[in-house]
Amino acid sequence: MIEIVTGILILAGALIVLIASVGIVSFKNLYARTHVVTKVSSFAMLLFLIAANLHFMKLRVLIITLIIFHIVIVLAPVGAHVITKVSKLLENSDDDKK
Amino acid sequence: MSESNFVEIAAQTAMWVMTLSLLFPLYRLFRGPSLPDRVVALDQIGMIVVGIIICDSIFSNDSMLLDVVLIIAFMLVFGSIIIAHYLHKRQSEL
Repeated sequence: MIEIVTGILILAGALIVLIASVGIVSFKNLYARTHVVTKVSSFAMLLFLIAANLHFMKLRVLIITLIIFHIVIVLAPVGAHVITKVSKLLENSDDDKK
Repeated sequence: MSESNFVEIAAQTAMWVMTLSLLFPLYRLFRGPSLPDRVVALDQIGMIVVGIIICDSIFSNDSMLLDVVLIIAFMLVFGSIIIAHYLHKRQSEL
């Protein structure tokens, strides 16, 4: 039973990663693409990490996946925020030159 | 079809799907209009690689591969922050 739940979580995560990758091509501006990378991919990583915990059932795996989860959920949006802020600054400086 | 076989098949299918979905951010990496677009595409490529390695650790039953995932996620985040820092520095020098 638990194997079936693990497999379904893995397949759902792969499908969500595919949707996020299509979104990074089809969205029009940078801010929408950043939204795809931070939110959708983080959700897919969460599903993968839950699947790994269900598959291994060890304390060491739980600790390492918690660290990975915090990096993906807390630090990756910080990086995306910094990138969008710099891109806004670059756009404003281009407008000044014109 | 036994139940443990299902996890292996699911992990293999997920690895194939994610390898194919690497093509979309690669397109954005080559065709991106500006430099921040390429940084975001690189972020997405790193996320997909993290997912592939997690599926590989489930497929090959080796929990040691999750350490690799930890280091890759860390490098990914700080890489994009440092690229943003240098973009900001170059922009303020102009």
